[in-house]
Amino acid sequence: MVVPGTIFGLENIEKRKEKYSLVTHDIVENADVCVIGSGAAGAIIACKLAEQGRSVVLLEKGGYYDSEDMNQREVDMIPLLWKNGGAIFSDNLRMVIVQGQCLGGTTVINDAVCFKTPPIIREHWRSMGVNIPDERWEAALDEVWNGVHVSRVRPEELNENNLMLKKACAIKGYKASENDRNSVDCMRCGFCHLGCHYETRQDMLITYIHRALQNSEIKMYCNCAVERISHSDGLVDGVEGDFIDSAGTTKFKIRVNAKAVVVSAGAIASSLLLMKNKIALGKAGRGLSFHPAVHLLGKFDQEINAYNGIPMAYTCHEFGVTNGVKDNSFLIESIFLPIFQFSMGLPSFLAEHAELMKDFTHYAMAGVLVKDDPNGTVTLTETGRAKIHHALSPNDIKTVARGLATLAELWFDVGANEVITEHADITRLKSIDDIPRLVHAVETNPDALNLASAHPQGGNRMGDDIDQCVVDSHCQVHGFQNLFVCDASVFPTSVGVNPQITVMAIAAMAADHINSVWDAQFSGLGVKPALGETCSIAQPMFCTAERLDTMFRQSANKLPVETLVNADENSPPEERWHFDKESLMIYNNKYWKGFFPLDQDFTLVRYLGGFWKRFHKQGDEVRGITHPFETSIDAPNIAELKAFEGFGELVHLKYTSPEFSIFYDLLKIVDKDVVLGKAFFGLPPFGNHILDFCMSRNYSVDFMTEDDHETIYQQARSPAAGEVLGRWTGRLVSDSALTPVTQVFTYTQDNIGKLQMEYLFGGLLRGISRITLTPQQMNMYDFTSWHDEVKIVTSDFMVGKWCSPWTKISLNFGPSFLSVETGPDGNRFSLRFTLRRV
Amino acid sequence: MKYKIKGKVKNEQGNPVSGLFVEAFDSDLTADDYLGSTLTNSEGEFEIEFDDKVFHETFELLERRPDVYVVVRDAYRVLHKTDVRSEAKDEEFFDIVVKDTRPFDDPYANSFQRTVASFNEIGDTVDISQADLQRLITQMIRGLASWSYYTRPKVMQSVGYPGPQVPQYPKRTPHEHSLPWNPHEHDEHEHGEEE
Repeated sequence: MVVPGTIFGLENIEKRKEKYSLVTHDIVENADVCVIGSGAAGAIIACKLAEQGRSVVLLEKGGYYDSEDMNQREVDMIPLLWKNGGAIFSDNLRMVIVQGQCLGGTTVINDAVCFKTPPIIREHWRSMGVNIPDERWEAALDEVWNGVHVSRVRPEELNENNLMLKKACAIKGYKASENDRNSVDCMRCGFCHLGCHYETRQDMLITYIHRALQNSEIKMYCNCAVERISHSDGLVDGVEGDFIDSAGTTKFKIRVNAKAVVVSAGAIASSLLLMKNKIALGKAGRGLSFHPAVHLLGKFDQEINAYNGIPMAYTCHEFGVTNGVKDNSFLIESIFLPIFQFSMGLPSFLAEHAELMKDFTHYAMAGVLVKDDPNGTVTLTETGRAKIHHALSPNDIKTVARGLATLAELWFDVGANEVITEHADITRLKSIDDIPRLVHAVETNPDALNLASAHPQGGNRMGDDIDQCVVDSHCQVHGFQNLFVCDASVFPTSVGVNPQITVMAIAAMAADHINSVWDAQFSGLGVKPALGETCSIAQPMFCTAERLDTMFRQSANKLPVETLVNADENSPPEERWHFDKESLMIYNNKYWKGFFPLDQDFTLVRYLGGFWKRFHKQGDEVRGITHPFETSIDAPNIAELKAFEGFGELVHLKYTSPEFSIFYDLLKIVDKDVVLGKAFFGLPPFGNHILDFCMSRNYSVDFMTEDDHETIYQQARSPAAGEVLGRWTGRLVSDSALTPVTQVFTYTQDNIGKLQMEYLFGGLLRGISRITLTPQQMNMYDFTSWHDEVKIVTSDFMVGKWCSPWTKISLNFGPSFLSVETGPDGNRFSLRFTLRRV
Repeated sequence: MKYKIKGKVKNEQGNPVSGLFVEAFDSDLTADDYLGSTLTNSEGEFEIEFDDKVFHETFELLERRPDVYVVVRDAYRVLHKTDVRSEAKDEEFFDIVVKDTRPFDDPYANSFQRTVASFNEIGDTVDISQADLQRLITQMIRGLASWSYYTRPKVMQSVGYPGPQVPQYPKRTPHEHSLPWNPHEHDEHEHGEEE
């Protein structure tokens, strides 16, 4: 059978298990549903919607790696499968958070432990406004339970590590049991965290993602980081993202126009995406919990060889939600780590570390999973990243201490001769008598504990209360017709058990809901075919040199050479130049603005270079000039339609004055407002190709020239204090190509209403500016003698310049990225920029 | 005089590929002459006709017959360039197989560099002033030391850890899916299941 669905990505790895195709260019997709994220929630929603006939596009930030890519080596697999290579920390660096970032999400790197959502948690959530009756919970839980082939670990599958916990629990008479795992015929290799090489763990890759690829024409784009969800008036119309390669370079862009969008990027990332796009502001990013886990090692005389076998196969339920404990509950779960992670987790240093590592095979390990209070937060930083704040509440600290004491006692009960803790003040317990010292250390100095979290939850709370909650009980974002958030971020509190099955069940319910109301609510929504920032004939300024070259070769010259003629001085001003505030687009027919390819090599050329061409009719001929910005050159030329070897019929632009006759351009008019071109050095047709370029009469404000800037600046007005509050990103005005964002301005008002601005330039230079508002413009002063003058154009767009003091000296020193202004007080330099609200 | 260049484009599986852009050139000592271009049809076939005027340029009076070659590209890049056929006949047929010539990526390349680079991504998400510096430095040194020391196979084995069970490049190296650790125990399990 031909598999209809396809995975796309940037990496070309041999022998893919699923149908795979390389992304080699910008992409625009029109689909019913766009799902962001392919983890426990995203994969299930995408699969269930696609199987019901919706066209689904799924975007995943990580790469696609199948089981034969998983080589069980920590150095190789951690950077491939773990989000940010495992380097995600809370803002005070006291907790490390591990999440998966690959096709399949965290389900590819977790320990496969499955717990159905405990009834007391469901009840508690209902009391917090989650309207999901138990029947729906049960049905969804059963569905995903079967979907990922969950089965109970058999007693003979327990290794010595798990057996130690089992024995200890038996001695104390604690309620405990083997775990349920989504694993079939587990090979017990112990490398769960590095991806399952044997395809026995039933992660999303081999369950729902495989199913979706088999049964539908789903498209899954990997290596794609979503940046933007475009929306207006509570209606989302599309998603934009970047394809980023393993070196961190943005290679291509994607725009998905969709009738419904589901954000399943995982806790933290989902909240971040909402905040970046000004959705659910003030609500998203609050109420996170993490299940902070602390480990204790029991050291035994005999060999345990805990690395060998299922790492997490046994759990002590006595104090957990699974045993009906509501408050301050915790689970004790056995676990073990491959050697690098194990070494990282030890609290010791140098000689002591080596000594502890020597006994690697003699340790039994278990962790205390604390059901913590939802008091963490995620905030958006200036550079668009997620800042995670977390502190253990007094209750949590007591629970952690109690859990550690219980576990230490268990280890001593089964004959441990030493217990190794992760508390910096007391790393080794010699006997049961040392346990109160550990409890005291944790309670008095909780910051010295090494915390790790693999279960970030919350941030986009589910519930009826519109003021507190981000999504309703169907995962639909309050105030939005067609936007859903569905993953662990919707949990109102921590769930108290390993969360993957709960995430999957919520996803299954959300997918069923979307399917059931599809015809009534979504199928009629028109998909606006927007292009975003993708490269195409309609907006070639977003193309790389390679794409411009191919487009040039493959398009025909479509229109007569007269199309080139620009408006002259006698034309109505509207036909020469206008600016549409609504779309932030400029129409410029004074001349053809030239654009260099997006991957223009010389950064300096972006700011210094650039050109325009102007054409007029002279008799039967079309003649023109080419003018590089910042120079006094006006190279006269004549445009003729003729057949050219290698390119077919096109416009040959011949320079008529002797000093430029060694150059020529070839142009193809592909649209009434778009021209593709190539510049050559030499005599036609033997010239050497030197440059690909394009020209367009329509361009967005991100491409504006200094002239456009001046005109828009003149028409703009001074902002009021309330209009600028918030964060803005700025670009320097270039005459040639799209330039990167260079500055971030954050405006705040202090308690007496005084406005101030914190700037971050180039990601490095940080400072505070004083602000004065005048009737003409907003002035901002920093520590230099230069100052900024800024005016507002629309509520989300401002223009400004960084100006030198006025001087009587003539400043025309030649080409420069500064423009020179002349006023009554003399001359001054100004550096022009634009600001967009974040 | 008229010349014809015909051909058929297939992929590695032998299926015809339609919609590819085919260009024909005459190879010369100086710039090559462009002879014509077309798209492949649904059967993967193409046909380009040209006149001898096209390749008889100022400096090529001596050239009797063209030396032709064909370039096949998709929407984004060149897929195939054929060898030059000197002194082409009136009708030349090119049987072209296009394959993905892109080299395979090594997913594990530069893993250390990529891991270090990921620390860059921490960016402004942490507030160093809130952190316990001594502990932070200790952790960093422990991390680096663990990474460079305990991931070496010999060191792993010296503390009793046998390490990975599959080759580093599982896709390139044939291997069996059986556990080298405790093979006995595994056999028992298999056996138990059969019962």
